[in-house]
Amino acid sequence: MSRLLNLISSWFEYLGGLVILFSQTVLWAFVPPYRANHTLRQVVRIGIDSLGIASLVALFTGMIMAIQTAYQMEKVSAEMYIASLVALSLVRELGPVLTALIVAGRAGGAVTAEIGSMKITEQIDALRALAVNPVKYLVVPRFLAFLISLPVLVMIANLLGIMGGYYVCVFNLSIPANLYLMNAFESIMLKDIVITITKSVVFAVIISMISCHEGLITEGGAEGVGSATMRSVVNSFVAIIGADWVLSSLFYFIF
Amino acid sequence: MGEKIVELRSVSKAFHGRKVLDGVDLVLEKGQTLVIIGCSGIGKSVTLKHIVGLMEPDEGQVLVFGRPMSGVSEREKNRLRLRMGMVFQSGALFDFLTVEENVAFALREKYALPEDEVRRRVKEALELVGLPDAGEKMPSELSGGMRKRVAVARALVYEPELMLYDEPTAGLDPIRAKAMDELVLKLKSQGKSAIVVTHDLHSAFKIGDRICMLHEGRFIIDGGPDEVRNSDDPVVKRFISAFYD
Repeated sequence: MSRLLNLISSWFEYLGGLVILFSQTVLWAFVPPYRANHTLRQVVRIGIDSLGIASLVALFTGMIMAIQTAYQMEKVSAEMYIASLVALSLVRELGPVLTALIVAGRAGGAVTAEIGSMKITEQIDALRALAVNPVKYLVVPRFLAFLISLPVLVMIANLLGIMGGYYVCVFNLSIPANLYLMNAFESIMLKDIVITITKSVVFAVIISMISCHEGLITEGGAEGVGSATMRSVVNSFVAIIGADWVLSSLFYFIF
Repeated sequence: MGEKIVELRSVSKAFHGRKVLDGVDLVLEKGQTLVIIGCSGIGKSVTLKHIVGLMEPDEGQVLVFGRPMSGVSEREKNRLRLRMGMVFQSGALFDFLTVEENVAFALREKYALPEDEVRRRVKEALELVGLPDAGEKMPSELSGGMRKRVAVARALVYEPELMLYDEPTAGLDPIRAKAMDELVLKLKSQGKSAIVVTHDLHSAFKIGDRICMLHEGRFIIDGGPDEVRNSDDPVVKRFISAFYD
């Protein structure tokens, strides 16, 4: 029983830490100097460097979805709906979630390892001793970079996923190209774009806060950095899936 | 009695129920070099971290330049931190910046100085620590001793009144250790006050105006080098004899 209570209290402590870090980050983001070059450097590392793997996964996801949907649709002679199913599934669900999971694994883990290494080698203490706030200096540029990069990556992933479906439908299933494109893009409405952007922004906040927080609370040596990185990726994955469920339910009732 | 630069009033600190500092009192006067000696893990670095405001005491008060460093906001602490330079045990250089960027860090982040002035000060600081050509190197390309010297340059480049050194000679060869002692003495001759944490008694006796030994959460001796060398306290005697054996 006491073990359970300890677990619950440590989870509340962890959540409290995330909330405090988030509020400090938002506050410091508005305090000059703004360090645009720091943020840009992080956009390159978090966003541009993740573009290749995110694009590849999105492209194949679109292709797989088209093939799998075709099995069912062929039975009822409704192949013309493959395009809209692929497009909507990607834009509303798979695009933001899969891209967020990739970015959490690739960039989120790297952020935790980097900040965690700085923590155990006293570099965070050195920042504070030099009167520089670590949240302002380290967390804000990464937070902004995630916030800028993830929505852009998600939009690119959505588009590439649809093009993956295009390849399968046009070249394997002989669906006319213009029919696929028309069905795909006409099925996407403004609310779907709102959903995809909202989800990607929420996921960006989740990944940035968990990865930076895990880095800042890293203890021990190299093993501690490894554990923090693992926790960062696992916790981000769980939080992304959980938040996706909450947002999907919310949007279902709103739209 | 001179102006008090640092004052610890009944400072206590415990980690996981173990008291590392137990009602410690300490005063550093202006221009003095105070050396803190003691066994590993006894709380010497913890004492320094309290002075620079990186740790909060469980009980007691830390005053730096006559102003409270404990129980105040980060903004208040930062005002005081810019008047002191801390040299960390590991150097704690920012590994994503070059040596030049590391040394210039505080000048660029906290002082609105023209870039020419920043470069001039960085050059002077690197020359002072004997590394005039290391500016373009990354910390990973430096030896442990070089990293420590760059850390000293980073701490003194903004001309703080108080220097805090955590094991400045640890891991250095005898020649570099001697050079480090001379550097500490040179900065002292410029009127800087200093607190040095070290295991190295050669260094302690050479640079310290006062030497304090931390043992079981308290300072068991606080005196000049000769007083410490000739102390009858069994713990002090054992520590000194173990060093020279």
